[in-house]
Amino acid sequence: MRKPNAGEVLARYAGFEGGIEEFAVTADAILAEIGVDDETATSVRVIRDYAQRGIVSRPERQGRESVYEYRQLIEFIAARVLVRDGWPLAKIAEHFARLTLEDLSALVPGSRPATSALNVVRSLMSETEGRKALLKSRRQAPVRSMPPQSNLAEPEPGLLFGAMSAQLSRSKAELPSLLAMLGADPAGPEARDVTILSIAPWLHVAIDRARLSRITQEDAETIARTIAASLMKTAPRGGK
Amino acid sequence: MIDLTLKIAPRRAALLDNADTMIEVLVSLRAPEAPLTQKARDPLNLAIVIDRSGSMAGPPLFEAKRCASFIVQSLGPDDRAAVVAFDDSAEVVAPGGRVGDRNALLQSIASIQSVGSTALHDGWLHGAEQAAHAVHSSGVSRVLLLTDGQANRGLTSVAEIAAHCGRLAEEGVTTSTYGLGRHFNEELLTEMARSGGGQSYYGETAEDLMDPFREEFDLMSALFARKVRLTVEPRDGVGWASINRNRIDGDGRLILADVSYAGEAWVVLRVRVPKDLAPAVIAGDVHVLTLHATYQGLDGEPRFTAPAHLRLPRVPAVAFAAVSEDEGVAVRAKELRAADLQEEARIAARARDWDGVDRALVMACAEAGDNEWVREGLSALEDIARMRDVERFSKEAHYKSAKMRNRLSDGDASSAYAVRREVMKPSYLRRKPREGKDMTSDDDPKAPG
Repeated sequence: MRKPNAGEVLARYAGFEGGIEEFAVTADAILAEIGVDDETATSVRVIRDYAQRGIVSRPERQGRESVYEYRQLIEFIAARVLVRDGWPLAKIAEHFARLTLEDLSALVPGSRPATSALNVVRSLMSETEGRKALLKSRRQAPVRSMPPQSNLAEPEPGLLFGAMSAQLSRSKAELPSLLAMLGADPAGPEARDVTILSIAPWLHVAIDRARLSRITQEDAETIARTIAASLMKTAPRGGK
Repeated sequence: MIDLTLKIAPRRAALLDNADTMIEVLVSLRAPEAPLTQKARDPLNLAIVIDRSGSMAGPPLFEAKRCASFIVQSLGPDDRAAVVAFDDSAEVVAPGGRVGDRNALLQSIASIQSVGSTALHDGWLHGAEQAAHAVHSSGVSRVLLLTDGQANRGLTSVAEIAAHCGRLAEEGVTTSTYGLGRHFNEELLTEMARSGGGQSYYGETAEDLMDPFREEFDLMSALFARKVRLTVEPRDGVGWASINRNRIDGDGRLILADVSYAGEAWVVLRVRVPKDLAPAVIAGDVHVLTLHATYQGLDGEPRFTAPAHLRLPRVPAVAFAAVSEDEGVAVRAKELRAADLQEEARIAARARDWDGVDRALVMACAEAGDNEWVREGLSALEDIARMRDVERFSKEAHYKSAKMRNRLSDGDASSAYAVRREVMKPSYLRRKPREGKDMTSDDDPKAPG
C-alpha cells in the first residue's frame, strides 16, 4: 500500500481541536508519520515554550481549558522541521506571525504538490550538488588526475547537456532566417572542401574570393552570427 | 480587454526593381494607457538575494540593505517576499511568505552581516527556490539579485548560470540583477537577466542603485503583458535578423521585453528581399512577411495580436532613392548601430586597445546623428575613456548598449532629449544619461568612481 505523503497526513488533521496533551500526542504522531526524525518526544513543556516564544500562536480559552487548533498544530510541525534544518528558535519566531497557513504548510516537505518551477529548482540543485561531489572527489583523487592548470570551475560536459540542448534548439530555430539573410539556402549550411582564410592554426574560414571584397560590416556581423549558429548545429557536443 | 497593438513600419517603403533589397523594419507592440480605475495588481512574489561577501563590508552592504528595505516597504501586506543572503554559501534569512506588517522582513535584512566569498549561483538558486513555492500564472515571481562581485564559488560559468535562469523563467520565475561598483562581472549579470526575463541594472555607488530598484518596482506594478513572443513568417527566400539581438525561443520566436501600460516593446528587423520574389496579387505589391505576437495578459491567459503584413511596391533605383525614410525607424536603427559600436568599444577597452575604443566611439557618434540621448551617453563614455578606466568604461558601455537594445519606449520617435522631460515619465520608460548613475546625478564622470 502506498505511503501517504505529508500533505495527505496533514489533511487528516484539518479539523483538529484539543487540549495540550492531545496536541502533544497528535504532533508526535504526525512527525513520526511524515518522517521528521525528532529524537525528543513532544512534551507539554516544549509546546508551552513555543507558545511563549510566539512560534505557536496563543490557543483559545474555553473556560479553564486551552484549546489548540489546526493552525497551531501546523505551526508546531513546521517549526520542528526548521529546527531540524538548523534554524534557531528566535529566527523562526520572527517569521511565523506573517506566514499564512498555506505558507506554513509549505515548509513541511512533501506537504503539497511542487510547482513546475520548484521541480526545476530542485533539479538544478541536484545537478549542482552532483558537480560539487564530483569536484570534491577529483580534489581527493591522486595528483595525476588533476593537471596543474585545470580550472575546477569548468563545467562537466555531461552536466552541461541540458543547457546546451536548450541553446542548440534556439540556434537551430534562428539558423534558416540567418542563412536567408546571406542569400543562402535556408536548409543549409552546405559543407565544402575549400580553405582560404586561416584565422588560427585550427580555424579556417572558406569564402569566395570574388565576394570577399564586397563584404560590408553588416555582412560581417551576420556572418559571425551565422557561423556561431552553424557550429552549434554541426558540432552540438563540441568543446571537448 | 484592449490588446497589445502590433505595428510594422519599414525604414523605406519600397523595394528595388531587379535587385535584392536590404531593408530595416521597425516592429512595435504597444500597450494601452493605464485605465483610470485600475484594478489592484496581483500580488508580487519576490525573492531578494543579497551578496554579503567580504567585499560588501561597510557602505556597499549598508546601501544594499537599504535598497532591499525599500523594496519591502513598497510591497503590500498580501505580496510575498523572501530574503536570501550569500557568501561562501547561501542562507535563507527570511522564508518566502506573506509580507504582512513588514517588520520581520525588515529585521531580517537589518541582521545581515558581511563575511566570506561569493557563491553567486547558490544564492540565486536559493532565492529561486523561495519564489518557486508560490508561482501563479497571473502574478510576477522574481528573484532580485544584488552583488558587487564575481561568481567565485560553486557554479561560475556565465553560459550555464544564464541557462539556469532561462529554465526558471520558462517556469514563471524571472531574474533581475543589480551590479554594484566596478568589480562585478557585467557579462554574467546582464546575461542572467536577459535569459531570466528580467531587468539588469548597475550602480557605480550603492546610492546609485536606489533608482533602479524604484524603476523595477514601478515596472512590476504597471505590467500589462508578459512572455511576449514575436513570430516572423517570411516568404520563401526572404531572410531576416533582429538587430536588437533578441533571444529566440525553441519555436523560433523572438523573445521581447515585458510591456507596461503605455509602454512599447520594439525590435528592428533587417530583412533581405531577393529580386525574384514574385509580387502578391493584391495591388501589385510584394508580400514580404507576416508577423504576429503572443503574450500573457494580466489574468495569466495567453493572448494573440492580429497579424501585421509587410507589403511593399517594387520601384526603379531612381524612384527608390527618392522614397523618404521614416524618421522614427531611422532613429531606432541608428541607436542600435551605436549600441553595437559601444559594445565593440567595450571589447577594445578590455583589451586595453584605447585607439580601438576611440575609433568605435567616433563611429558611434557618426551613427547617432542628432539623437541627443545617444550623444549624451557617448560623451560620458568619452570622458571615462580619457581616464583609461577599464572597469568603469566596460560597465557603462555594456549596460548602455543593453539598454538601447532592450528598453521599453513611450513611443516617442523624436531625436530630442532633456532630462527634465524624462523625469516626468514613468521611471521604467525614462532614458538615463548614464546607466550607472542616479537619473538626476550631476556627478562628473571624471571624478573617481
